[in-house]
Amino acid sequence: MRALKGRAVLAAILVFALALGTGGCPRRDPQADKLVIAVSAELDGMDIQQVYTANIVQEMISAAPVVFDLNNEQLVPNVAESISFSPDGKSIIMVFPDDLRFADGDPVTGADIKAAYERYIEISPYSGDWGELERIDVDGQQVTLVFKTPPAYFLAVLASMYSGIVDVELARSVGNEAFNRQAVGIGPYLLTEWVPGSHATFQRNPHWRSFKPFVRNRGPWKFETVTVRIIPDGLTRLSELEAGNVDLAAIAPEHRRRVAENEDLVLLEAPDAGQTYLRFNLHRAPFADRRFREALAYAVNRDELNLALDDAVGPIWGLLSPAQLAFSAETEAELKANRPHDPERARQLLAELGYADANGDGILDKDGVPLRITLLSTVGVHAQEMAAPVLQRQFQLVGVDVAIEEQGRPYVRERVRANDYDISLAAWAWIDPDIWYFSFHSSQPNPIWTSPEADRLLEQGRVLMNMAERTANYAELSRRVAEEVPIISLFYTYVYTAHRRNLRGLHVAVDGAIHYEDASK
Amino acid sequence: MLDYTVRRLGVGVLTVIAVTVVLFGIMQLMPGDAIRLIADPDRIPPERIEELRRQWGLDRPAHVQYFYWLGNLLQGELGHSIVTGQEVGVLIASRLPFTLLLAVTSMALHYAIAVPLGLVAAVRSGSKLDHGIIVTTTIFWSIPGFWLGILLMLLLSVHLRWFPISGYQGLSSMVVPVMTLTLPPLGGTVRLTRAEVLDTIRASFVLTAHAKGLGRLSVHLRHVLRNALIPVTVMFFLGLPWVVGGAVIIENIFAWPGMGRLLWMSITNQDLPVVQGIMIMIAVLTVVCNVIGDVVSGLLDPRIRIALEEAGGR
Repeated sequence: MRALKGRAVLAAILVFALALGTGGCPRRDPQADKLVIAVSAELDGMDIQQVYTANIVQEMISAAPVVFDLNNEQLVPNVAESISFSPDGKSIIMVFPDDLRFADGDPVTGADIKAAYERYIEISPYSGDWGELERIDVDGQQVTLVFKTPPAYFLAVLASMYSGIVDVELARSVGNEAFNRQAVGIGPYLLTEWVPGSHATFQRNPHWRSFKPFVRNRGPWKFETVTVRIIPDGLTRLSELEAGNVDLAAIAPEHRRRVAENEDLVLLEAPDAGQTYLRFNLHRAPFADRRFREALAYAVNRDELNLALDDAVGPIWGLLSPAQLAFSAETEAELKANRPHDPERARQLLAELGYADANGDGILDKDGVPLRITLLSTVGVHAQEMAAPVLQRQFQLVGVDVAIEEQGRPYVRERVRANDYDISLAAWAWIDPDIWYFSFHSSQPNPIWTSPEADRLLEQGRVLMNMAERTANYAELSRRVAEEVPIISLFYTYVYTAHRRNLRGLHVAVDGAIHYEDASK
Repeated sequence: MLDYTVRRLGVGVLTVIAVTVVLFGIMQLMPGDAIRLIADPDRIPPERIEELRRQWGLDRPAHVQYFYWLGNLLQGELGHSIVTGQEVGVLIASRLPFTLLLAVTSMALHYAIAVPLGLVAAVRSGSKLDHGIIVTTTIFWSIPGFWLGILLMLLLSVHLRWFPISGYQGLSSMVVPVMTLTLPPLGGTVRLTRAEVLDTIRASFVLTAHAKGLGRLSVHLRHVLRNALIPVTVMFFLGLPWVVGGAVIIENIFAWPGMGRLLWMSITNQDLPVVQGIMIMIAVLTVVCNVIGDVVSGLLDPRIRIALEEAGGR
């Protein structure tokens, strides 16, 4: 009887201790398990192999096997355990973990990864990225991509969202159209709901593992669910962020100061991996003459452009922005020193070409014909809308009368393709410098400018696997372009993102890419 | 009346076909096409772009593309979006409920407020109440919808936190967008109703009704309002189709997943199948609403019914 009493007392103490222990724990905020991200762009679809524009949702669903480190200097593993290259540089060898699974729990073999890349080549609009691929070898969980030449240009593709791995067997069984609405991949989350135009909701993939060396958490993300909300209007996105309904949001440049003043928010600023530049039509006089192009290059004052764009851009003289692979700060400094803002030098060059202000109206003329050119700009692109009148004024100050022609994107593209323009503002964004291959290589249908030397450097840039050598190669290309002036590099834009201060542990790369593995609230 | 309705529907079908031809022509006037526009020329080789154009039939002559599309339409196929690859019908179906919810609610609320206000303003014509109604609704009329939307959002959602800021999150998230769509056009409908009521009040049959000893409220509701509402009813049905596709800016501000945003995105991407699909829907809705407007006004006013029947008989 005494023993029974003793047990009862012990049990009571245990229950009390348990209750006390539970009650004593700090209550976990139910919102701590949820991450809400606001983006501006509509979602084309969920299948990375079918969309034209990738978005964070594709990163959630179908993660890339490798990524660039935070400084965009070298490739590091992500889903793959390791990445290495064959001695001749033509093969990329990736080893995936044995227990790799799709987000719905199905196991992933090397053959599944091969099938995913074969489908990419078959249906993706960007299948040309794989043009140099010879074959894909699979040995267990080791996948080897064998190329005809060392694929330096391809590394950016492999580290991009576009190389995310999807479940091809599922895609084939449900059809591409259905799969684009309900894609499944090896990413950190499983899509549970997509309401077009509104939001997409994801459930944590419990099988997820990342091998990124710069993150501490190698397991599943810390948020049970992630919701990506589509909020096109910048002010509305900011209001949602300020109200605490959204944890992280893309910020319009005009709102960044308001974010910076808000103690509850943290502003992230990063240069975009791309640039806005002025493109000359070399098929037309007077732009065919290098000295004329050089004169306009001397007339450009990038500080004024920066002012007009509210300091939301960074000036650029070479071919690459600081967020791009193979960028060289030394080359930038050298090019800047060689081509300062010098309106006097611009006037002098134009005078050497026979232009003079015969009637004293401030506009140069030659053989009685005033020097009038048209600047083609894309309507709706904020940076171009703001830059065009500044350039117009700067060129007018050296005696060149400029008419601005703002057109919609389709018109600008067609006019440029048909060489029906004088000078045009243009922009692009891609992390790899090989992007210039399409603008300057003689094999392209409508290159801006070509030269045997530029061809050689562009071809070399595609195969140089050593980053230092590649950087030197593109520095040389930048010098050649600066000498010939087929374009005038103007600026790169900054990408602004903001998050609530209670969201901690984000890793932000030099180009603004965010890694969420260690993030928590 | 039936004969007339059938004739109107027949003309409506021809109108819809004419709309498709005009729209197709306008879209063809735009340079390039969806593939050339959305495919990044700096990353996609030209031969791949041409391959994608062939895949979507964009390399064929415009008239072949049109008749192919029309043939599919007659079989109930709206085609696939060039940008997303999804069925146009599915895309529209995913957006239409949200738009209808907003459009029908705001239209209903708009008329539920405007008609009584117009009636009161007319009955109390020249009074302070009349001036107050006219001035207030004119102020709303003068404010651009997008600006009013931002102001209401900042006041009611951001500062007072009474309603969600954006997106569809249940019925409470409809309040501010519905107010934004309802308030600006009040001025026009109130003035129209007021003018019609004032005209009707002076009519001899209204005087007769008063002389018969009917109560003031009864005269206003049964005799005055019924007659004054005829043009207002027609306006309601004519306005409905464009509320479905025309709330682009409001949908953008409130991140509302409706048709307006889909239409805007599809036009900017030159996604012809989606643009055609939405426009067909709006054209059909316009024709149907026109016919319904005629029928309803005929039901409200026997004189119109008789005139329409006579016109149908000729």
